[in-house]
Amino acid sequence: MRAVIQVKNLKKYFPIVKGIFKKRYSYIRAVDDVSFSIEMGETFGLVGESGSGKSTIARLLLRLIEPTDGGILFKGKDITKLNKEELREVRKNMGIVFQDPASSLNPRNTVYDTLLRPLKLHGIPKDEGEERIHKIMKSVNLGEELLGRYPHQLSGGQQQRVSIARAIILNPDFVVLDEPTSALDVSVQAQILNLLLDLQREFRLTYLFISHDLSVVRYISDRIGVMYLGNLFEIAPTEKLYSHAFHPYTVGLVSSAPILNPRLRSRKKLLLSGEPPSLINPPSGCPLHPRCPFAKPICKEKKPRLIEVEEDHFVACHRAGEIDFSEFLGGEFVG
Amino acid sequence: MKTLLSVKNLKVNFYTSAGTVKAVDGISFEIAKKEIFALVGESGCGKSTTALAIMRLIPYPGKITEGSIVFENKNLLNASEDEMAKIRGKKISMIFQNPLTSLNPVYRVGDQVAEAIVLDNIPKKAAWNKVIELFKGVKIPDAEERVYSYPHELSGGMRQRVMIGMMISREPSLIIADEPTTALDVTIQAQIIKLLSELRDTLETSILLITHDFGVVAELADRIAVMYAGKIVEMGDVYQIFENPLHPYTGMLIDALPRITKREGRLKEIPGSVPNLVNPPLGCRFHPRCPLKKEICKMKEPSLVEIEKGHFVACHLYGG
Repeated sequence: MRAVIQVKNLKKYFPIVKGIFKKRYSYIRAVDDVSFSIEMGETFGLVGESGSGKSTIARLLLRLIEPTDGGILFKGKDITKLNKEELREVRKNMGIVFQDPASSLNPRNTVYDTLLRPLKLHGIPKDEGEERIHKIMKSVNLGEELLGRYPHQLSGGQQQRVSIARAIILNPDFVVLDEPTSALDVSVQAQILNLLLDLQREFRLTYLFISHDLSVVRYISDRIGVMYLGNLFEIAPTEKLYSHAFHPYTVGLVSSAPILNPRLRSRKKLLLSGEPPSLINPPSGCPLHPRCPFAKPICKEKKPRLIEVEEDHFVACHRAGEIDFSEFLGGEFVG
Repeated sequence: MKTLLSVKNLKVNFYTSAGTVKAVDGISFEIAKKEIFALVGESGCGKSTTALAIMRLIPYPGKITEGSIVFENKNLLNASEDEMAKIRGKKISMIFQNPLTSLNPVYRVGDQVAEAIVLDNIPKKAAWNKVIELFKGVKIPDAEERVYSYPHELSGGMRQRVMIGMMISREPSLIIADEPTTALDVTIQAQIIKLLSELRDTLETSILLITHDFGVVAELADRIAVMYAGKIVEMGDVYQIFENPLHPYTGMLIDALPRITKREGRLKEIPGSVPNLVNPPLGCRFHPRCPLKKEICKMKEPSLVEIEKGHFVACHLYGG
């Protein structure tokens, strides 16, 4: 397998400025030393709660924001060092779909204009562009009669199909999907998830899929990374993560998620106490230790590194492998 | 079981420039004492409008046009504005999705909750002590200090706890919780679900849960009504709905939730999207999206009939 994306020790600190001289007095560590890679043709899922840094990573990978430190290799080339012209070429090969289609589509552009714009920006000749627009509308299951419509004349599902069409119209290799179904109704969510799988096959796409919804990530991803306070806690193939997680936070997330079976209400859950602390003054050592029921003295002092505990299964926990989580993960997981 | 709230043939219309929207179109249900009853459905199905109708808070240009809402043997639709003001907050209270917009940003949270308590002629000092007790009851850590916090100083989960504390402060007999966990993270959602279910036991309150999330319903509700396009299409206890859904919409909606991995199969889709309520489809409102539709579904609207004890469905497949 060949890596499309390799992220190495990526950091993004947002300065907090105060006063008229804009003195930097502290930083928000949105992404704090994260490394992972995404292989050609796979879907890599990133899960985490709000403020965990998953959307910041999405923006960094497309270099919509500049990293504080670390490298992002796209097909082996470090995109953090590219100039504007070079970046433009690379961006042609990347797409992004945002959570809320209503606010990511220009309300004054018709569907046709929205799809034409990326083609124009990258100098695709008009005839070819027309052809691509008609082809892509078919791929995302939208009728051609919608080409003349404005976003407000479309349903939420149709809007998201247009956003997806725009993201892949230049035939990219890599698409970032940032909570693409979170704003949609359940019945429409299933349509969009199936569409994304079809498009992946048709255009041989590589996805980074970001979501806070554990069952959605589980359905679509081949491998999943779990984030907390700007750190990656665990990376594993999907089935393994839900049945044999090693990190207490992953177990807490998986066992807190509601299950569609009222008879399993009284199942054992690993309820993490309290709430995520501030990103400005994150806890020392392992960022989870104030909430972790298994914390030991070392967890307060030393930040654990992400290490491979089993083949293709990475965990950042001082006690990885020591704790038996089977009572929390034994039951059926049905988000 | 004793009935606390009985809604009969409730209709709410919104008179918009685009036409009359029949947001709630003749729904009936009952909530018993100590019961957690859930109204579930997708956006625009009328679940939140129903909640607002019970509080008599339907905003302009909406209007309750028909039906009755009997609460503790009194029809709220005949109550005067003064009587309603006494019921709201005291007898029926409401928790909203986003606690940040429901709390006043310029007052300390303790003062806001105390303000509700002094309405019951409790002296200020005693009210303040009660606030601290309430905050402990909803598991706010360091309650003695947290009462002095402003809403922006609290996290989303803590704000929702403050809201719940405020809503139970006057010991209402019904709490309406409109998407109480939707704005919260998974680990916090689990904490709030646990809290709500404990409150039902300790305070003996009934809860009307309004949500789009079947997962939350499976964790919390005793009975469920599934709504679609302003109508109740199916109603039953939580086991009947999850284990033997009768209406095609209920079954398809539960199946559309990803419970599998992509290797195990494709998600079942519901084609199309929810209809426009200015011009809803004739006959059964779900028929344009229903794979099991018959000729009669296009012409005649099915009525809600009881198929087994306590399990109602509005579908021509069952005679409706």
